[in-house]
Amino acid sequence: MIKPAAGSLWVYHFAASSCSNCDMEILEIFTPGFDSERFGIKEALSIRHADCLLVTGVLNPKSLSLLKKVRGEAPRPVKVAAVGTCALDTGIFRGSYNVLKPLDKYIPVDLYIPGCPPTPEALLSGLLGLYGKDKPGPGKRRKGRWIF
Amino acid sequence: MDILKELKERFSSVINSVQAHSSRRIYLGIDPARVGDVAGHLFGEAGFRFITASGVDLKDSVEVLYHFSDDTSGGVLTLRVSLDPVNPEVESLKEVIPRAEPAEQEIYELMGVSFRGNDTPGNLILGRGYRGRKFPLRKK
Amino acid sequence: MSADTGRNPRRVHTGPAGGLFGEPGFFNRRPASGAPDIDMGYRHRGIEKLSESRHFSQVVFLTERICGLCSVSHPLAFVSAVEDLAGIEIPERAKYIRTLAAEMERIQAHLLWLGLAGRLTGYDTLWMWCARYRAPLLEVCGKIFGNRRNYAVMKIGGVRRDISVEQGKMIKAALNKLLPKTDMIEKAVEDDPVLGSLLKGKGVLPREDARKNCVTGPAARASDIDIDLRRDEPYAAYPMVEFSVPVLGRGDLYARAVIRLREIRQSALIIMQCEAALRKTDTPLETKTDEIPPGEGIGRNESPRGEVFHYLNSRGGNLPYRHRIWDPGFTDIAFGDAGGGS
Repeated sequence: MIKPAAGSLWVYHFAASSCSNCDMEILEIFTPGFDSERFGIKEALSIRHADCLLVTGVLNPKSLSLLKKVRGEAPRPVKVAAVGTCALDTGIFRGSYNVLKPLDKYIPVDLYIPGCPPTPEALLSGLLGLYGKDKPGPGKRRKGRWIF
Repeated sequence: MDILKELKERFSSVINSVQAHSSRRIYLGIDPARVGDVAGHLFGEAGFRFITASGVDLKDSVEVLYHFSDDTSGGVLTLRVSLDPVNPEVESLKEVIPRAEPAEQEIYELMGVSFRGNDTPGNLILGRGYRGRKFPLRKK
Repeated sequence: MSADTGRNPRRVHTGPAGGLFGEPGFFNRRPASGAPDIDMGYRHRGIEKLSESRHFSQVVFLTERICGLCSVSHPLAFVSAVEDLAGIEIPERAKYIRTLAAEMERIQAHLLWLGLAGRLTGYDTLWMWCARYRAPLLEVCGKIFGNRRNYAVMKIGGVRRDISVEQGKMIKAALNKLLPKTDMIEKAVEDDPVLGSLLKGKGVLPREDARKNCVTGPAARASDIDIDLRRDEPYAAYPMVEFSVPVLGRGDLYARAVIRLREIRQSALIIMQCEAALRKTDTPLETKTDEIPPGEGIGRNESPRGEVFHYLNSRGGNLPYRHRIWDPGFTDIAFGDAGGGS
């Protein structure tokens, strides 16, 4: 079910401690094969222009401090998507001395896209699900229709 | 490897042990005080390429291995240095091989082996909170 | 790389904020020496420690997730280390399949590098072309190995998946479509004046510096250092196939782009030979391995970006005692001053 978008979704991509497979699949959706721009999904080169923050990979103490900085600079309301098994529940890296808890223990996450790595189709269908969603995610409740 | 014969003649007093796993994988035990000379000779005159250094905690000793690649005929020559487990310390190869610096830094952060002469400030890899805590790659 | 305009104008960062432009890290330029001071570890996940708590067969999947571009090279280096340690000889069919998977990875990694080089220099057409002509290759990988990336094809003593005759035809068809496009891309790179002015003579890595800093892979071959582990220390099926190693003398960014395009052609040649050989050989896919004895093993191979090196120490039993991983990216980061190349 794809509802017409009220605005275009510009995504910003943050690689926490990923192996860069998810990052390559994210890049793939902007290329001619999948062409996300037909849905208005466009890559933002600065977090200040973004509506959605895609986070890939597990978090370690160093990348968490960067992530917090990046999220603090994001215009509100910003959607956060956890991309890939690592961001969802740390996956194969669970239990390492330098790996922190899953992403949603630190910042509210609106969208989970599982897969190692998720296919571009999965990424697109997940991002399209953000359109027409009228409730904010688990983080904060706001009145009225969600901006997208 | 021809280099083995040459090294044996030149550094006969420095080489403690020779283990040839196969013709392409040779491990040489080296006196920790002279590792700089042997590594310098390998990297300089013999034309070997430095791959990396690894640290291994064997509980009764800590070993640092320097891996060199023979790019003409293929093969890895490894220099093995055995150190005291309580306070492991060895001279740095930074002066003879600039690329040894990041590898040594990594071993210092993860295993606590200090390299004399390599005074790169900490936290290249781990966050600041890790200074002074247990080294992750050391065994109990 | 983008300059941080914040408090410290000399602080240059790559990585997470830009996404995929190299490994995340920061370089603090020290004006006196000109050498960068590095702040990295944004992707340190402690894989070496984790692998000490995994079975040998499980570590293969862990090594796949070290680096996305080398998700065949790292498992290959690890299983070669185990095979070196235990003295296992693998069947011929497994050798060809390993080679084929490694070369498929090399082609798509080189195309991605070239595309990103175009994207970073503002030549978006090149990026779109590379991504478009690379996509069918990934689709074929998805059909053959079950996933577009992280193929899980390596196994201690052999390979996990067979490649049938039909699948071989699929690979050949995809390559035959790709090769004319590679020529087109090479011509576009050569002809484009903007790209030429941006890449030619930039980031020059002289031969002596490259040797001193132990640079490997395409970056070394673009700086007139004739090293390639596929030829110098043949592993898998490389002694049984014919290919040449392109070497260029200029050492600039342009040479690094051209060398990758030439390697794509050589890789395609290798894949064709492997595919032909796979139709003739009929051996089992793996040598059964029961126990890993105590000892040491070293496995290394030529990944798309340079030499991947794994050292393994076993005390007997199910788990590795120590597993050391070295990736060429670390070299290039440490040498980031002259634009190491990968």
